[in-house]
This record gives sequence, structure tokens and C-alpha cells, in this order.
Amino acid sequence: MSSPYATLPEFEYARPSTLEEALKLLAKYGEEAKVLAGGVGLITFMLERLVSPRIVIDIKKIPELRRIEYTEGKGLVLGAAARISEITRYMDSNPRVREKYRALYEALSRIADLQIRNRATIGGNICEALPFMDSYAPLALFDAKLRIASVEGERETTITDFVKGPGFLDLAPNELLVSIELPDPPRESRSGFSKIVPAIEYSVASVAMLVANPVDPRSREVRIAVSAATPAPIRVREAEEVFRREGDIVDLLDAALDRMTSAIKELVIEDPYASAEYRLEMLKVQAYILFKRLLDSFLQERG
Amino acid sequence: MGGAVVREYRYIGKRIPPRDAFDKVTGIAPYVYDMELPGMLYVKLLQSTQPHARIKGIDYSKALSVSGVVAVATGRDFPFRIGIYVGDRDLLAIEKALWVGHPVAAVIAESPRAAEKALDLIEVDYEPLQPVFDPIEAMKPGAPLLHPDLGKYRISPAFKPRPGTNIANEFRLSKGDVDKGFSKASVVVEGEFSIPFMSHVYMETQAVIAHYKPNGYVDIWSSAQSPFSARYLLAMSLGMPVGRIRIHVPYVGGGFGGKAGLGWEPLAVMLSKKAGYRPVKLLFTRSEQMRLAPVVAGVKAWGKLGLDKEGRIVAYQARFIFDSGAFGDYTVNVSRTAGYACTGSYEVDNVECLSYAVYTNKIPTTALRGFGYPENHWVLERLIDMAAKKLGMDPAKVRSINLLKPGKSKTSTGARLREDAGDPQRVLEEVIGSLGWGREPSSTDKPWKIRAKGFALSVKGPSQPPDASSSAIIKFNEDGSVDVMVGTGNFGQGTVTSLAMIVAEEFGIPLDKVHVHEMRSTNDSAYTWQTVGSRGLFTDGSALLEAIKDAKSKIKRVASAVLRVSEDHLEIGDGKVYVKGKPWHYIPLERIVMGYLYENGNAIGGPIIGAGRHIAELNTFLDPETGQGTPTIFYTFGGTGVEVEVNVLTGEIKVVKAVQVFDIGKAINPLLVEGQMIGGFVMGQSRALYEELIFDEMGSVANPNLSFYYVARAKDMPDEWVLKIIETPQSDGPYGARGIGENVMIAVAPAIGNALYHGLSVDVRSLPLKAERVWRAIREQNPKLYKEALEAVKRSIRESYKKLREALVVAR
Repeated sequence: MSSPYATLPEFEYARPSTLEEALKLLAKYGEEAKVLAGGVGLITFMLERLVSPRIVIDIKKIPELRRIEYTEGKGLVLGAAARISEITRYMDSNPRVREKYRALYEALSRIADLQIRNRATIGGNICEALPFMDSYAPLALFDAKLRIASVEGERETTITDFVKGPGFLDLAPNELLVSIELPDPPRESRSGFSKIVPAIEYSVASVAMLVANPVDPRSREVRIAVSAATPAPIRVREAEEVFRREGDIVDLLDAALDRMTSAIKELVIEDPYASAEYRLEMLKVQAYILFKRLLDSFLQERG
Repeated sequence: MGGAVVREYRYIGKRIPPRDAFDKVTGIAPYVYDMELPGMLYVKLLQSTQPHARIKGIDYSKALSVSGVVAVATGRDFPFRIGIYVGDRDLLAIEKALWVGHPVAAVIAESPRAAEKALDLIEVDYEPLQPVFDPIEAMKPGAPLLHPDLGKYRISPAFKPRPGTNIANEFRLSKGDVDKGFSKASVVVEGEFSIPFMSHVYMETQAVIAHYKPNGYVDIWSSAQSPFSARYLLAMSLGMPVGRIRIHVPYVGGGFGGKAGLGWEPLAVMLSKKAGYRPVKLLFTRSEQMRLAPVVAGVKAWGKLGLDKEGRIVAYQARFIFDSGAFGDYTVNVSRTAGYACTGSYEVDNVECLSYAVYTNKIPTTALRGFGYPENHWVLERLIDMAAKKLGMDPAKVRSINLLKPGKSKTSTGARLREDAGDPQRVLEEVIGSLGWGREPSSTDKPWKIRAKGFALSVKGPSQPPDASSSAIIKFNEDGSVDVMVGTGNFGQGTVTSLAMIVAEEFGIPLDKVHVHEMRSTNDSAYTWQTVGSRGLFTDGSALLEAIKDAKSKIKRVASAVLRVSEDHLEIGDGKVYVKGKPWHYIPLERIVMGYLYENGNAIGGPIIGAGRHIAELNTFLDPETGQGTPTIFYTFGGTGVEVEVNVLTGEIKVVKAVQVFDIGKAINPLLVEGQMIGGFVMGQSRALYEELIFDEMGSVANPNLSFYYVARAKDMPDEWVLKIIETPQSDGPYGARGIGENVMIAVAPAIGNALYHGLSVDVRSLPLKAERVWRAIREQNPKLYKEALEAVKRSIRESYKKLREALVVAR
């Protein structure tokens, strides 16, 4: 992100203290409004004149949007304006929660640097709508529910339905992303996140994976989600289904990852920073290495 | 060395923290970027959207109507060209826009906001012309010409542009007979190599404030490396008397060559005049910095090396095509230097090296730390390893056989290397010893990660005119403290700390009684040609020693009268002037340096000022046909070794161990020298592995930001450092010292390239060694390695699974 401009375009600024107030402003200004959470994306977009909102609505002071809360059986709820570093700190002080949502933790704790993580928010990360946003693959992995509100009411969606492609969200001008709910993952599951950042600040291929009960063919579960290599995040269910076949998990891995490759091949991004061929192969390579890491993490727990 | 007296030093050779550290850490260090003057205006430049186009008209009437806008300037206001060596630069595009980003108009306004608002309202009518982006295409007859008037430009004598083409400079080094040489070769290796455009990425982007005053004087505050040379070139460019221009330079947030010579001062000065003699400030955002301020040239190179059966280099041929972008600026001299120093640390009798700087419709380029040496080393130091492998000989042995021998060998330019130039042989031995060259690299616990070792040697001397000179002035204060006035810049190297140590050492006074102001001003700092080429400590340090000697003799003259002994019998040290052998007969310096007062009120002497100077000795111009002559005042020899860990499956490279060895004659301050060794390595690593400006189909920089243009971070640093300083003193350097600032990064890329070559049998000749490039090379050149690594991962998955199942059975 870069800009020849050193100043921001002129705009009005509002800092509502309740969700209701924020939604009213959004209803009033619609497309002329932009929501400010951490500002990591918005300010740079404004510097570049990619957006020039008439009004900037700052949601940082709405307590409800800063929520970070885990409830046994219900799962983890993150307010859209919860900061990345607040979330990882919460997880560090609740190691059980951290291990449950390990893939999310690994992704969030490696976003940019600490100064950025102190500003950036989970909602901002989601709404930036660029392929390499680090929260995407883990949120797809954990079947996250995104709660969207407007003055007209509320609705619920998933990350893969919400993020349509670069710059495209399923979000009406009067709507606001309010919270993200991650249901409890399968019992005794392990998850992890892996990305390739070759000489740029952003990933060109990200994989999140979850494995539960790997040695029991009846109860085992494998989930795979990818992002960065594709315009929008993908939960690769075609690959996950392969693990429902008969046989040992390790005997199905090659077939599952081949299935992943064929399922997403046509969608992979090609640009000056990484070829489609490399991105696709990196998804596969990382999936193998991640799978090994997850198996080993079951072992370590026992050893 | 029987009988040699080893002098005990109080400061020299001690690890003393840099003087600027406090200012920088606390944030009190002044930079032009932060400076504001009363009544100051702000400038914003409109960038061309066309890579090559005739400017038919510029309509800025709407811009002028924006509140706060004072004036708008276009190329028509400044119909002349400037430039350090080839006068090809315009201040704002004259008639033609030459790259996407070329400033075509400047808005001057009361606030940055007004300037930016007005910028969006300027309309430019372009008539697109055929652009040329590839330097090899640009050299061909019939290619679109960027500078049809090249033959009419002002050209500095050492340079040879070819009018009617896009060749901004052509240089040829010729020695011996390469055909005859190659006919004696047992092995010949050749190859094409490339280096991309890069940005200097100094932390402080370019910033200049200029005030053209109604009385005809011009005051400039500039983030410049070389205020004096900027002043001279500015005076030449604008036809002004040199003495009427005063350039003031506070701390500079990094330069790396990118702020040498002449920068944006001429434009700022002319805009100040245009704005009614008010001060104007021009500064760049990072994006502007990477789209319109000069960057670093890309290079396409070819080299051919022949060894006889003993491993002796019998011939070397190379060609370097520097993609200069739209202006030649410093790149004409960088390419010339790459050519004349093409044989590196080795003695080669038969050489032919050609180098070109070529115009293309891309961002202009300028000098970068290393100045042609990183470019020529990337070719030669790789070819040596290839040739050695082909011959079945250790590349260390091949290097050892061919190294320049001080006092005996002749360099590429035919100049005999001075006897005390250093000990290249010992450098080589220390590099391979510290690296453990010849011993297998350690293995990793991940079967898809392979460790590999490589090394390369490097040499570097300043590329400067034969009459480049420096001076220094010291003056005493009432308390016996000393003000030091030098011209050498203050942008991170630490030279100022070393200069202060020299003064403290010579007078035996505490270091905190030596003051070196951070501001350089052409009207009250001592002259130095430029702060470039690793020359600062060598040249300005030498001038300072002469100034100290001058001051000492003035002090002794007064003391001689007071103490009633001859001047020859006086010594200065410990902050006193005293009688040799009877140190209890002394005068404290503070009682004599402002004049000595007798008890009855008589006084003699007066304030003490010392002046000194330095000029290159016995340097020559290079022969225009053969490139032969003596171009440098010293060569510093060095070498770099690396152990890298390569992820075979992803192509990612991690440097686990870095070895840096340099013979710098004398480390005035080893702490600062090590800082250069570490910083230079990381910069070299960054250029070797990550940095690359990417151009789109319009020749426009697609990644003018630090998100998509990646620079090494703290996390990328090597795990282990071996830093070795060798001290073979050079008799005409201060305390024997030679320069170190640039050489520290030159051998890093070839060392890493050689590591891939030896450890993975993969030969990558294009920089940067980005993950995908390395991954692709492994898949194409050593597919077995890739396959085995993937198999190893799968095998280890099965092993883990087996263990997990067993563990579960036991648990049950």
C-alpha cells in the first residue's frame, strides 16, 4: 500500500458509543460512510484515494464490539473491533482456548508486527477483503459465524459466503460486521496454520488444517481451508471427504491433497509475486508438513 | 617485528559507542524532514502517467484557483538540463515525459493539503510515443530514443555517451589478449547474470528546503550526503556563484549513495524563486521515493572465465549492461566502475570488460553502496566457483592462486598494488577457516531442509576523481575543549565518532571535550568533496591529523616561550603541553589555547586553530581506450562466508551463519566496524534474497511500498556471526586505516549463490534468490532432490502415525 499523497482527503468523523447509534449513521450515510476499526486498511486506502468517504464512523468505542469471550460449549465470540493483540493475549492467558483454536492463534500472532497487531482488529482484517488476509483460512476452518447487523435487523453468514473476492464483500452499505463466533471444535482436535511469505509482507499461499481422532477411522475428522492463493478463502470439503473413506488416515492423505489440488486449481492467483503453479504446489507442500506437525502434536501431548 | 614500538592508545582501537546514538534513540536528532521555516511553502509534484509521451499542453488553471495555492510550475519554466556527469536531467519534464512517475508539474502551496488538492486538478495532454523498457532492446538501432539531443548535452570528460542511441555511457577495459588467453585455458565457463532494479530504502526519504533570497543568496537545508558537491553542481547548473549558495545538512536518515551528488536542490531553489522568494519544502512519501526519486539500476551481465590446468585465470571477459532508466545520473559512473574493477581481488593478465549505461523509459537510477562492485562480483565470484568445479579444484585454492599480491601484482587497470594494501591471502584463509569450508555442513532435524556453505571474496576502493580532496579545521574553546569542523556526512556510518576519538587521542583530552556539530554547512564546515566510496575516515581523517599537527605546532610555539625550551623538546598529551622527559614542567591546554596570560598581565599567542587537508596522491585519469590507470587511493580486501538452510520444498533460504572478514588496516573503533560488518551483511542479504522493484507493462513501479518491496527485518538476521578484523596498516591512512563502509555487502550475494551451487547443485544466476526462483531451479536442475524431500516428509508422516498408534495401544 503506497501513496503519493501525504494528507488524507477531507472527511467528517463520528465516534458512536453504541451499536444502535453506529447503525443509524450507516443507514443515514450508506455508501458515503466508511467504518474505522483499527484503521490499518482504511487509512492507507484513503491515502491512496481508493476511497474518499464523506464520513468515517469509528467503532472502537462501542464496548460490545470489543468483546473477547469464550464459553464452554458455546465457543469463542470476538467483537469485530477486538484488536489482534488483545485476542492473542486473551488466548495466551487461557491456554485451553488457545489450543482449541490453535490455527487462528498461529495466524493472528504472525500478522505483520506487534505495532500493527496493537491497532489492527479482527473485523478490519476480515473486511479488508484482500486474498491474503490472515484470519480467513482459520475462520473457514472453525466454521465461524459472522454476525451482520443493520437498522433493519441481523443476519448470520460464513466467511466463505461473506468474502467474495478481492474488494468484494457480501455487505450492504448500511450493514456492519458485529461479531465472529467460533463454535467449539471437535474434542481432542489439533489445528495449525501455515503460510508462505516470499519477499513480500503478505502470504501467497496459506493453509489451515484441523485433525481430530487421527487413528480412529470412524470418528476421525480432517478439515482443510486455504486462502491467499485464491481470490477468496475456500474450505476444501472435497479433500476433507476423502478422509471419510475406508483405510488409515495416512493412506488417504495423498489422495486427499490431490483432490484439494484439482478442486481449486482453476482458481489460483497468478501475479508478479508468485505464479499459480508455485502457489498451488505450496498449498500442497504446506499441507503435508502441517499434517505431520499435527500428528506430532498428538504424540507430544502423550509423551 | 623486533624493535617495533607498539603504541599504547587511550581511545584508538577501543569499542566506543557511536556519538549519535543518544540523539537518535531519544528522538532529538534533527532531520530536514522535520524542519519548518517561517513562511514556508510546500511542494507537490505531479507524476507522468505515460512512460514516453510528448507533452502537448498542461492546463493548471483549476489548480491555481485552489485556496492556498501560490504557483504552479512546469518544464517550460526551467528549460535547461543538469546532471553530475551527463547533463541529461530536467527539473520538470521538458517537452517529453520519460517514465511513469516523471514529474511534469509542481504545485507550490501554503499547506501540503492545498498542494495535493490542486495536484488532482491539473490536466496534462499527452501524445504517447513508443516506449522502450528493456535495455538490450534500447541499445538496438532504431529503438525509440529518450534523448535525441544527447550529443548536445554537457558531458564530463571521463564519460562517453553515444549520441543518436540510448547509450548514456560506454566503457571498455582492455588488457593483454583475451583470445590468446582463452586458447591456453583447460576449462572455460560462461554465463548470463542479472540483478534487478532496487530501492535504497533509506529510512528518511528525500527532503529539501530551499530559500532563494531577494539578495541573491540561496540557503538550502537538504537530506544530502555531499553538501559541497551538491553546492558546486547546483552552481554550475543554475549559473550561480558557488559562494552565494549555502547548503546546510543536519542528520541524514541514511543515504547508501542515493543522496550523493546532486539531488532535488535545483528544483527546490527554482521553485522558491518562482514562489516569490519564499522558502519551499519538497519531501517525498515512500511511494514517491520509489517512483520518481532515483533508485538503483538493474543489470544484465555476461561473463566468461578461463582457467589453465593449474587453476590460473588465463582470461576474463565480461559485459555489463546497466539499465539506467530515464537519466544517466550516477549510473554512468557506476557502470564505468563495474567495468574497470571487473577482475575483483585477482590478478588477470588478459581482460576485456565492457560496460554500458543505457536509457530506458523507467525510473532514473543512481549510486548505491558498493558502486558497481556488487554487480561485477556477482558475475566473477560465481564464475570462479563454476570453473573450479569443472576443473575439479577447490574454489579456495583457485582463489588463492590468483589473488592480487600487494607490492607485486597489477590490478585490472594496470596499476601496481601498493605494498601495504592489505593481506588478501589471510582474508581468504580466515574466511574458509571460520566457515569450516571443506567440512560438511550440520544436518537439520527436518529432512526437507538442507544446509549448505559458500563463500566469496571482495575488494572495494573509492571511485572518485583524481583530485578529490578533503579538509579539516579544529579550534579550541576556553575550557580546552575542541570544536571539530569537517565536511564528512553524518548518516549512520559512525565516521564522526572515529574522528572525535582521533582528536581526543592526539591531545590526550577526554572524549567528551571533543565536539563535532551534527550540522554540515558549506559556509562553515571544512570542505570535503563527497561522503561516498568508503572514503570519509581515510580522507577526512587524514586531513584532521594534519589539522591536529598544525594546532600542536601553534601551541608549542607559545609554550616554548612560556616554558623556555625549544619547540622540539615539547610534547602534547594528557591535556597538557609539557617538556619531554620532565613532564612536571607543563601548561594545561586550557591555559594556553586561547592565549597565555602571564602573572603581570602580559599575554601571548591567541586562540588556536588548526587546519589540514588531504588530496588523492598519484591517482590518474583512466586511458579512454583501454581503461588503464590508477583510479583509487586504497583497496580494501575482504571476504564473506555463509551457511544457509534451504527449504527444498518451498525454496526459502535462511542464513544460519555469516562470516565477515576484512583487512581494514586499523580499526579506529572496532565496535563501529563490526556494526558495518553486520549492517552491510544484512543489506547484502536483503538484496541477495528479497529486494526487487517490479515493473508493470507501462514500465511503472508496481511495488512502490514496503509491503510488496520486502527489506530484511530483524527476524531474517543470521543466527550466528563470525566477525574478523585484520589490521595490515596502510602507511598513508589515519593510524593505517582503510575504508570499510561498502565492501561489507559486496560478497554476500555471490557467497549465497555459491552455497546453493555447492550444497544443492543448483545454479541460480538472477537476483534476488527469491523462494519461487530457488524452488523452480531445484525442480528443474535437481528434481531428484525435490522428490526425495517430499518423500521424506511422507515417510516421516507415516513414522509419526505409527508411533501415535503404538502410543495409543500402550495407553489402552
